[in-house]
Amino acid sequence: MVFASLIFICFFLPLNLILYYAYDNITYRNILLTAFSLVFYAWGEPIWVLLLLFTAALDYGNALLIERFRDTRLATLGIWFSVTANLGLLMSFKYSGFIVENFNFLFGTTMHVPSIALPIGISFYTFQTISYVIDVYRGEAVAQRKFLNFLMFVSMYQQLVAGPIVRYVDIMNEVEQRDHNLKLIWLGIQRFTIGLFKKVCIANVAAEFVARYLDGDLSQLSVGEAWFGILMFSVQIYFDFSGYSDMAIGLGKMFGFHFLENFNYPYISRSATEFWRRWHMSLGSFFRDYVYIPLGGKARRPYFNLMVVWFLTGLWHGASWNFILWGLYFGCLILIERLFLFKILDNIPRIFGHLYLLFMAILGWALFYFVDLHRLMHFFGILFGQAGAQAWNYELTIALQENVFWLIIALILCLPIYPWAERKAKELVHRFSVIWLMATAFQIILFVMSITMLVGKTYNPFIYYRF
Amino acid sequence: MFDTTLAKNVMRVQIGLFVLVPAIWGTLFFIMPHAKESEYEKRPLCPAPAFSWDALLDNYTDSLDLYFSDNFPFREDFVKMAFQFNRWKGWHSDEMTFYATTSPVEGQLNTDSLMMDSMARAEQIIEAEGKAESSHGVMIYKGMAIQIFGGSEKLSNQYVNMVNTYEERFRGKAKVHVMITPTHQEYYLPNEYRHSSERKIINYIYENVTKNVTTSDVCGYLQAHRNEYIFFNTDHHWTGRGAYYAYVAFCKANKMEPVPIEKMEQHFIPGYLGSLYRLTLDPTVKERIDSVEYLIPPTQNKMYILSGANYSRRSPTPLFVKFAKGGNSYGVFLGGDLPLLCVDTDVKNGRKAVLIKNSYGNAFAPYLISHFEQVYIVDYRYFKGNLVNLVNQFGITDVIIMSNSFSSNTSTHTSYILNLLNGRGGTTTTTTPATGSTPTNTPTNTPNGNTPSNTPTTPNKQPNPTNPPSNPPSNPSAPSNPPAPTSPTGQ
Repeated sequence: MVFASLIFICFFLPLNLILYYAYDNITYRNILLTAFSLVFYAWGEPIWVLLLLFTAALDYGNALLIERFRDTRLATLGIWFSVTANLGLLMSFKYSGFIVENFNFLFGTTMHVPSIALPIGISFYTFQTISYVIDVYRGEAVAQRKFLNFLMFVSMYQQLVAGPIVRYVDIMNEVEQRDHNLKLIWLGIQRFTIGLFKKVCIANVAAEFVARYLDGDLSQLSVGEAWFGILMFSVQIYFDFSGYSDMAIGLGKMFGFHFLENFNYPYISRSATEFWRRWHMSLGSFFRDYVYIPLGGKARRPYFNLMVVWFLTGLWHGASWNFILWGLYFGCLILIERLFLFKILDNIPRIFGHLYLLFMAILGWALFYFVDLHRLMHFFGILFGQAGAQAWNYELTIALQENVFWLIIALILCLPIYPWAERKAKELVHRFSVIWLMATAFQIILFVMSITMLVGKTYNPFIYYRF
Repeated sequence: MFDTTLAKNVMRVQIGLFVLVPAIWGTLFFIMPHAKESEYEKRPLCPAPAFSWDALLDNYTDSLDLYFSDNFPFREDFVKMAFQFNRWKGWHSDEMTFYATTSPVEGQLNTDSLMMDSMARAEQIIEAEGKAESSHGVMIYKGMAIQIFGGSEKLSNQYVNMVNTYEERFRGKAKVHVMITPTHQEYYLPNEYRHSSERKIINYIYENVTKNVTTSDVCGYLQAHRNEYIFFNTDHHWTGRGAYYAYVAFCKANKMEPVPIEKMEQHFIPGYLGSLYRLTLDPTVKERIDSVEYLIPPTQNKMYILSGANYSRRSPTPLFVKFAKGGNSYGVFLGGDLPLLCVDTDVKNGRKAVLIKNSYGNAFAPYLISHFEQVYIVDYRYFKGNLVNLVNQFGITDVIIMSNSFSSNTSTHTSYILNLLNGRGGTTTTTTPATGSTPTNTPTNTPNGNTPSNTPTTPNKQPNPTNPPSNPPSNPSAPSNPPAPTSPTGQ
């Protein structure tokens, strides 16, 4: 199931909320959430829900083992077992094809390339459980005694299929005891509505352009269309993913959970370093805390560590060389920034930093988008006028004309307008209580618009969903 | 700020609305009756999916998602509102609107799948005429829906080779004619919105086929009558009248006297909203709703569907299916796209023709009956037999290849025509394809659809995590290269 679907909004969520608040008992509520989450997951993956249960059981057991036998060899065994098992599962499901292909290529063998369907969310929940076991090992978290609670943490539909990667330490105090109040629920609804709007009204619209310009016959594309296409993908992936994170955070609030933010207006960054502190923050911090720092961080072999992290970040996004290249691309940028670019950027007007980042990020998305390296090369050729494509065509003019208002709104919303509006509202609300009504009316309009657009479409893709 | 009574009340109301209104809608879904068809989108709506344990492990939940959203209470109103919202995204000129067609659905001409929305199905129907290579979107210009032609000399070369192969194969036995008709763009779309010129490409083909092949100046004859109702506003086909002028062109090229239009019986089927409306759902196009004019030539005739070994089985069928209506009105011509038809006429001149066509030829075929003893009509997309055997068996004297500009620049179509020469032997299949042109369009009731791209969760099943949802169409390569005696100058 997906959040941005009519079945979720009209059946699943209302039912869940009504049942949840019907009876004030934490165990009942946790069981309810877990049950709903398993149904949510099984809706999309009727078979692989078992894998989810298996992973949860495995690490529930491992963590208890580690804690019970802390500082002995058994604990070390536990952690290695857990990490290996989780990564092993991830590798088999996600990377086996990629590995075999490359092995064949390097060694000239002709092994059969497996093609396994990827269970939804496996990249997210395996990282979640790994972080839990490591945190228990490090003593930063107390192992969860009740399997129900642990299973709830792993399978919670609010964050299961597409993040944010919620760490156990972030919600461990909320497992057995949550504050439920009007304000929190309301904030949750507000956040969910914003996320839904981002996804349905902006990301899905951008996706149509992406399909039109980037999926078809590249030899027919004009240079303008190529740039517009990749700009649209940059819009799509941001609003898609951050919208989904918004919905996740909003849903968490509705049930008393406080998840950490995952996006902080990444497109206002002035460097790649800053960009990755604002984009998919839960992933960045995962790699920082569980790979970069254990490897030595800034202290020992910093550049090597950096490239390892970025290699892995790219690889996490997909079992294909273009993703790895994308990760390394950012690794190199960050390296360059650290070596000398920051000194330059600090001494020139800020606007250049913005332009530099936007340009690099958009090109990076081209790397990310084209899995086929031939198409990728062809596309880059078009972008830089090397492929004999015409510069502009009238279809593009018409497309821009017919979408100009939407485009302006989409670009403006990349800026932190919402926090600014929120601050202003908070200042003025004491004097103008009508602001409450305006805010509410606004939410309702966004919600109705999103539903309308959902009804019109039976197809609703989500990029990070395939992880 | 959250502590004031106003705040608390507002929050309570909003929470209440958020939970209850969708829940009410969900309940309405169970209470309200479900329509079978969307009036606005002109397509059938998904019925309740059949449950089975197998289906549960497969795509039952996807079908449930679709079932609910297709029968969402007050869906029509929402869809209309969604269309409005889409128009508010930018500025639209009064005169024209452009619809870029997204990558078309590849492969089957199966329109039975309920999973497809009207656009995908309409695209498939249009795709049956000429694929993405040669089509560059649809422009609504002054209320007429016009497909934009993207052909080229390079794309035409394969067609030229094919025609020349035909000439060589039938030399001494039958005369080969080629007719390529332009479409709306040639007459109704200003130059600045065109990609390529249909007239130029057609002339290129005509100039490069061997001299023995007769060519007909359809372009010129339609041009003279472009102010008449020769093309539909809402459909990619031409009208019966447009096909008539092509018939005149054919007669002039062959030194035959065309039957004057006044001698034909004129009929109308009103209320036709065609493929290009269903593809774009554009309201201006809807206003220019078409009527299908068909002209009945004065020649006595009997038409048969041919099937069986050596085409011995003959099933009578009307030349014009007069009860065709609604979205299938174009099916009045020949009853739709059938693999092999034969018309016996009372003409006595020793000439027999075979017309090789796609659905454009349906409107044209009837006019031939005034000039041949027998007219065989082959739809190259569905005929599985061997054309050479057919010509030999029935003593056919004239082989007429008819295409429109789009299909002449589409390699799959050219390959189809070419492969008729090497077909599988004397039998024809009797499968009637379910294209939009057939009068009987019965969708099956099991919604286990075959188009994965329309369901929300199917992208998950792909092993490659970030494959863009719609797969880019691979460039179809010509399956067989005929030994071309004269290759025209390649690009």
